[in-house]
Amino acid sequence: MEAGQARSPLSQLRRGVLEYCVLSLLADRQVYGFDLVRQLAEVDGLVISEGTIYPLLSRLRRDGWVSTSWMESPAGPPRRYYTLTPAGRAALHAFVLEWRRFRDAVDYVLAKETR
Amino acid sequence: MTASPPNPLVEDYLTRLAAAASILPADQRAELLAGIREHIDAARAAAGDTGGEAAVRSLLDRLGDPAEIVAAAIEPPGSHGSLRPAASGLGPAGAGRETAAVTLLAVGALPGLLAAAAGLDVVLAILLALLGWTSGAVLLWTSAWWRPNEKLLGTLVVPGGLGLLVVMALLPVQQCVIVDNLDGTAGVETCTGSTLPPAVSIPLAAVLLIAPLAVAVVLLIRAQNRRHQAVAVIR
Repeated sequence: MEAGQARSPLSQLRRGVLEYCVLSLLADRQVYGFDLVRQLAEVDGLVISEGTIYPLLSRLRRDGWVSTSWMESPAGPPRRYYTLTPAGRAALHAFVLEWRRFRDAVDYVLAKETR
Repeated sequence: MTASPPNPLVEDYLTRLAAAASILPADQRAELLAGIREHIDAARAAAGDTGGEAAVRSLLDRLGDPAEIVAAAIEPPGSHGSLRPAASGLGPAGAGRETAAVTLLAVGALPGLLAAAAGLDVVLAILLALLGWTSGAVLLWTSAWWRPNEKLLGTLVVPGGLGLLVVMALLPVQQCVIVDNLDGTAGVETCTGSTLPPAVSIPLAAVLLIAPLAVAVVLLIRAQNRRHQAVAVIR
């Protein structure tokens, strides 16, 4: 199953874009890692392997775009919550502007194909 | 939540993940394994173990192949760099904005005030001074590299920057004139301007000199640290 999806022409693109979807979900509040993965997975066609979001979160943290904090949970072990840093916010903002241009450009060209 | 009972499928999955992740640095490997294990525990607790084997299978299926997860951890070429935006202040061109903001906040009011001292129309000079400092404040508040509390600090310490110190120096010094009466008796002393006793004015001047400079340095260092973090990611 995974092998077929890895060959998808969108897999590279998806990987690159996914981290900004993560940043966007963190824009307004801090989120528990599990909830973050669940939210992303609920969007059809965005995430193929939910497990790949964890290395991505780890990289975003090492890069200083998100910060993490441990919070007590009502039951069970403490949970790791993720928050956007100012640098992450700036990167997200820059990406959104570029993405809109790129998306419109691709849609414009592809529209000729379907006419 | 109560820990779900160990499940052979889960344990097998985590063993395969640990093996695949052995190529990662130790701290990344530990973080990844802990994250995935926590995810599985949370998912099983949320489902209440209702679906049994089928639910566990579906959960592990959605997580994906361990090799694929580890592949995502080793900087896949498609995800890093190619889609990073070079725009909006992340490039070197953007760094000038923060420097300009901090510089204008500290000394932006000075040209106007010095022009006033040199004899320029006072109203014009004040407008010039306000324009200089305000431009710095606008750049400060529109920048994404500072937190709101840092922006507040940059605005309030000290409004006008070093300009306030210059204003203090330019204020007319107290001058007193005693005009003797024509008959030789002592006249009335008339004074113009006002002055602060040195015990107040010297510490005040020191604060007005040091505070804006210290805030400028703090703001620059913070913006630079964040920029380095972001730029390191792009490269």
